[in-house]
Amino acid sequence: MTPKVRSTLTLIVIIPLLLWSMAGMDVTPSRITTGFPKAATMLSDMFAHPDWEYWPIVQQRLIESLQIAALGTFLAGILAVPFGVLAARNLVRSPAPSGIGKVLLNAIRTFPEILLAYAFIKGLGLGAFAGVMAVAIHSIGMLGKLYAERIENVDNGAIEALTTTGASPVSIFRHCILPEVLPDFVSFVLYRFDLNVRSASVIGIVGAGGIGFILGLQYQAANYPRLGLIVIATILTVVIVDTISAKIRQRLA
Amino acid sequence: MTTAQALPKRPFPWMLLVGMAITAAILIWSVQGTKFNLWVLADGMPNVLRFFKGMLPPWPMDFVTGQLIPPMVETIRIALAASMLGAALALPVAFMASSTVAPNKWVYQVTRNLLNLIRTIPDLVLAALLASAFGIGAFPGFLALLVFSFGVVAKLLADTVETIDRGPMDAIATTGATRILQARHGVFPQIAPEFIAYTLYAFEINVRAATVLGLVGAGGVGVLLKTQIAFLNYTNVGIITAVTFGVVMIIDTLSSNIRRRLV
Amino acid sequence: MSDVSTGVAAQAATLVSFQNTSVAYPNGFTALRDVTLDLHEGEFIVVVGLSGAGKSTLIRTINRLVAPTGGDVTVLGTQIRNISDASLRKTRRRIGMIFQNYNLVRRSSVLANVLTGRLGDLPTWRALLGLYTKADTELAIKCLTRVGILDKAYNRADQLSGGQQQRVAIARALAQQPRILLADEPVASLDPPTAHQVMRDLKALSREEGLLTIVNLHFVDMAMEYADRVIGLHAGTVVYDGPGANMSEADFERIYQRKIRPDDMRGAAEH
Repeated sequence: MTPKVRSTLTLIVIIPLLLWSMAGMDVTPSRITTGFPKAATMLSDMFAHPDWEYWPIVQQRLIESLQIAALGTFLAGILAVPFGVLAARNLVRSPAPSGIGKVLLNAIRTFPEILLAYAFIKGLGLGAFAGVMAVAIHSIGMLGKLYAERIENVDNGAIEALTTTGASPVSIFRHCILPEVLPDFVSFVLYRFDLNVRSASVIGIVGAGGIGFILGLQYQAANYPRLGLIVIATILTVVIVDTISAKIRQRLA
Repeated sequence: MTTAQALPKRPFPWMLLVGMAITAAILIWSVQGTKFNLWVLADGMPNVLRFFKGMLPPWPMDFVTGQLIPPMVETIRIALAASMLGAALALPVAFMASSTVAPNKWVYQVTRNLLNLIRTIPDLVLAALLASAFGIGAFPGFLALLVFSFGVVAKLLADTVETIDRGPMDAIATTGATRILQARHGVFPQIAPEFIAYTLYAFEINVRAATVLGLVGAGGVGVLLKTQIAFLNYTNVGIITAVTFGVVMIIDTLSSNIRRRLV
Repeated sequence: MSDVSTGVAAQAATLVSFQNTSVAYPNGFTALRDVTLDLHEGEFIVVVGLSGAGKSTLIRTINRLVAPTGGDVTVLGTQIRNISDASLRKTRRRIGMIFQNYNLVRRSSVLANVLTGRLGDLPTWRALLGLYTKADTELAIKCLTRVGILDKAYNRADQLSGGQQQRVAIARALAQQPRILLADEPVASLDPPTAHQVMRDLKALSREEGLLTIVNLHFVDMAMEYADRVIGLHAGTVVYDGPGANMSEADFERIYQRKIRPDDMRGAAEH
């Protein structure tokens, strides 16, 4: 396929696709002309005059989000280890457990976190506890996959050497594989915590605790000054957690 | 062969102990704050499982053909438009955000920081705000995902552009061509496969995200999801989830095939 | 096949015995053809030959990293071709092995690495918890002292130079209290002075502990310098088997079946 043919083909495919997808927006001129000014007013209400008096409640809920993320990530960090070990292709002789393990982890990963939140609210009631469980289960899927891939990439040389000393497979796992992968596992967990602070903030909207909850409330009440404070505080928290997490992960490498 | 040697002093693992102490403190604090309780968990698990059980087949087909398809199509349209336009916008910005192409250090730093800032905004928040401004429907969802896709693709692309070979670009520069031409002919060919890969990746995430955005009224399948949950119609919730998963899988396979054809 | 016994080994016990051993890989390549050899306690043997001649395979058949597909190998009184995993582990306990790339656990300390040599003798619960006995630790310290690297005991293994890492690997092998020591291209990654140092240490250790040592080398000059006995392989068969002393380049040319080249030589140690 010559470059010219390729670019023409690309254009023929992409442009209609783009037009078709945009057409579904029902974008009318009036929508845009009323929308943007409205958005501008909203934004100025939110960020030019945030309601600082509301801060104590925001702080309390932010802390709750952090706690949800911390506990959820920690639980997942530990519970994902057996999953990761099971799903790693190089640990067990037959390929069956690895296949099953990977499918299971994928199923957990792709299950929307919001639905997990709903499920646990049903069983545990509204509040942060449901949030912890939703975050934990979702993260087991994510971390399990990372763990498995890391285990599959271990340096085989040291394993070969220890096999020749007559050590049992369990010993080799404990003294050769584990020391190599553990620092990386901790790194994965820290990164996951980073991402979970964001999602903990979001699942609160459906009632799973944390700052998402008051976000939803103030949104319904159209109280933009308070909404603005919440958004600013959330973004700042995420940025701070990002920075600390990145620094610690650098030290670990 | 050997001279007399003594066993050196074992370095005391300060960092490890401090790290463990801090982690333990954070965990205890979190358990208290979230009221984590294993007994409550055990009590509540049956209800949790009932939710999941409700989502399992058999699935009534009339729901699928009657109610599910239009919102699903809408979701795909939103996701597609957002990822394509978002990627297109991300291209020039990604160039500015990489040290290999940016004209000077200042542009590079500012662009990078702006990108990081954009990526901290949860898309749900953005969608909610936009829905307030533009009214409920597909448009705010599209805008929210547009911003989100832009952020994702720009960051991934910038990291890729960092690793390119400056050779072709410099060669073109010697002919006196403008920066834009340098980028178009010197850099873009090197990253074209990745560009397409990232766009498809954004498309995939967008389809998944659209289900959630609908919760705040930003159009697509998510709106349907919300009503079904409100009606406690968990079977339909299961159908929606499964179909969304199916669509994502199809996109994933398509994307792998396309990428293989390109490379 | 030429005559096997050397003066030193004439009275010593046979620790390894190849009996019509063949190794054929699934892709059809035959690495060893019908090899019959006896290796004795206390011998310092160097195996030479071109790449692909079977040197590595020969060594790895002894601890069954590679399984014989024909014939058998008797190691320390056991025929190893079809034994169970548990019996194999028991036999491997008494065989130490060092590799071209050292194969240490990079993120662990030097001491921790040497202690892993004791794992095969530990009960499972001790191995899992990492609770070595006092005797184990003392033995590890002794081995580290033997190779002269005790002062680096708590350094991370990857902080050491190549020669130092190989010494740690040797200490780990010694910690097994082996009767046989295998070395697969132990000095290929080291510069000439360090390479010679390691070979000297290996030879001295072998003598002091009365080990049967088998070293795989592709450096002709080093083979001539250090070997008590040289076994030359060509296309999977033994084409030379005799004392290392007084070997000439002509002998090697017969083994390699080509002229000796400069990169077949390691070069002198500048001491």
